[in-house]
Amino acid sequence: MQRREKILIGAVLVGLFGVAGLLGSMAWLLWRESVASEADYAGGLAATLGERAERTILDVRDMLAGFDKLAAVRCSAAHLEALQNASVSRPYIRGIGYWQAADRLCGVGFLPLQGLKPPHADHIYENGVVAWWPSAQTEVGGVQLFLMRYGEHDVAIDPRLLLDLPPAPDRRATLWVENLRLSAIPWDVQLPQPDALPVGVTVEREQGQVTSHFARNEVLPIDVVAQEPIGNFWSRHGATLLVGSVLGLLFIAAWVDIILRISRRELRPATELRRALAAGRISVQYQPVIDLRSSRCIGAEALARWQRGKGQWVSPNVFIPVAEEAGLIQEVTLTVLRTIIADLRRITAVAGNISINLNLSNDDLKNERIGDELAEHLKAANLPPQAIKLEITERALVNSDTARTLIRGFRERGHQIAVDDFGTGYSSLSYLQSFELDVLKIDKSFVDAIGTGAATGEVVVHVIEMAKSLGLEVVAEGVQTLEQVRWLVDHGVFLAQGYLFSKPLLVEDFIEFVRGNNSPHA
Amino acid sequence: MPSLRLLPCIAAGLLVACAAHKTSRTPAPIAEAKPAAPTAATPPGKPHAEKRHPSAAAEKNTALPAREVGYYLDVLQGRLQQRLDSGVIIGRQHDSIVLDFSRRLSFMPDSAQLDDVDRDLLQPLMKILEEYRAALVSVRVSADDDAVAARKLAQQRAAVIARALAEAGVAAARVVIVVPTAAARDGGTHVEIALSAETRGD
Repeated sequence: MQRREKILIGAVLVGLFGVAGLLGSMAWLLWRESVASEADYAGGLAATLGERAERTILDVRDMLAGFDKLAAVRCSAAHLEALQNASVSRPYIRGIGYWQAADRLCGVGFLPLQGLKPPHADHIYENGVVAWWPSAQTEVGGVQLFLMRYGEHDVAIDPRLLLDLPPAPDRRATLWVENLRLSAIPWDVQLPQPDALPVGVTVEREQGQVTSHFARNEVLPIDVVAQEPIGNFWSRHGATLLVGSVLGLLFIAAWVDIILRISRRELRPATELRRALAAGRISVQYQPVIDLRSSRCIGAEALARWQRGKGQWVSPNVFIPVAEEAGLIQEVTLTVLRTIIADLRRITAVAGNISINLNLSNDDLKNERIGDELAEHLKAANLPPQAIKLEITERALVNSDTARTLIRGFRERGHQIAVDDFGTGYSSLSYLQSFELDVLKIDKSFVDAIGTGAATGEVVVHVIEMAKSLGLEVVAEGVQTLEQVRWLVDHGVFLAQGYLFSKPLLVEDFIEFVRGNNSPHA
Repeated sequence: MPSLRLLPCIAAGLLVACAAHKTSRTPAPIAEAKPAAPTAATPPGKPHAEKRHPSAAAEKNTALPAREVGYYLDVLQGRLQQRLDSGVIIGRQHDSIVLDFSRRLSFMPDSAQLDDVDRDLLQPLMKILEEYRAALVSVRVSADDDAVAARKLAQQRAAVIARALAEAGVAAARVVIVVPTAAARDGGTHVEIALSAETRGD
């Protein structure tokens, strides 16, 4: 798989996973937030209900205790008035009775005269309160009442009034005291028992309902179980969910943007080239230079090659400008230099004194790095400076005194300097003259024009003349036909390179080429 | 021919009503006898077996309909919880309430006397029994061992309590005394008062 494809697939995968992760975590957060606030809401409601139920029960007990202390003669008008007053101020009271043992002697409210005598009390408290939870035995007029007796009096409470929840569609709830069902809305609703439910909010999406269970255990153990359609839940938390979703989408957009930026940067040729350099995927090919008189190979131009994938080569025309733009060209030059030095030993073993041309870029002529490294490597490899010729472009000459100084330095160390692509720049003869040069390479475009009668054909003649007059050696580039060879020889150009002789070769092939080409019997 | 008489009762499946019926029919043997008399001494070797209460129903027609017994005992228990000293342990069996006075009411060795503190302790109970007239009372004082002397002392002690109740106005016919065997107790002198409800079969 190519790096580009890898990056693309990787970016898509990372993007997708990121989006999924973000969506998931947003959904999870929102869900948790909603459930938590639902728990707060339901918990608050349940706490209120529980407290009220508890307060009512305690209040009723105190009321009953107060009756025992009344001074009024029992069943007198004053006694009954006191009971009546207490009843009126507590809307949930159905009736109050005055008892001796199991005989109800008098009372107020809407109850049978003889009172209610359920056969089994649900709770008899330490302090003497006896309580009967609502049941068929406490039913009066279709309402099952909650009874409490303490001392001489008892009270009947309508439990429905202990559970008044704020209105919500289809809300069902049960109130449990002492693990016994005290009240419910609607009265005959069947909800799970508190001990079968976890405390808190349970959202059952399959059943489309939210069940909440809250327990309070201060004076009395009190549980509130409520159930309502999930729609109520959504409508309460719709705003949170909406805001959360918008935030989530923003996060996702930001994420996608980050991924796009990263992948764009990763896919930039400069980044790719940097990685190729680091991974050693820049290799060198040798284009043989032939002496036309002897047909011997006297050297080669080293060309950088970038192998991007299997069998996929990037043309220097493409990547050299990229390298120059990204400031990586010096790295490319150094990589080629190191490769040449490493190859030279094997090459000279076969070809004897041969020189390899190393292309320098404009940037290479701005500091001494190349020169230093070159000297260092040659010394380490014990090679003569003549083994490396330096090719500079005509355009490099246009620049600065630094270039001039460096070029002089190279020559002083024993390197020959060749001007590459000559004729494509703007340098005049007099300007060229001011540099110390050794070789002039005629660009392929001029060589192509040879024998075609084009105007450039005339130009090349002048270029050759000019080079000769400057005492420079001339090398023709891009020679493809024998006709061109003949023409060049006729015009006194004896060095050439091009596909007629060989395409650029990997070092092994180049060595083979030299061995075959330069052998005395060839 | 008691079995013949019982047959219709069993057939009706109304054992409780039947028993109550039978009880109410039984004439109170010594209704007005001295309360101190050992009316219900447990035969040795049969711990906790209790003789049936003599009916107090004749007295003032205080007996309850069977369906009200549960309610009656529940509210009586509530009242006892409310009024009795917290050191008295109030226990509940299906058809009776057992008041364990052992922690509070202790006789001097070889004595069958109640002091003023003991009488104060019994006071609220007596007051409640005034209201709850259908309650039958059995006073149980355990003997320290099965020796005749010990059993006699226990019986005397129970009788003293029964007399105190009678003096406070509890009809003697509602009270029986019981002396469980030493084997039935688990250390110390047990003083218990069990309350049950007298029922009538209607």
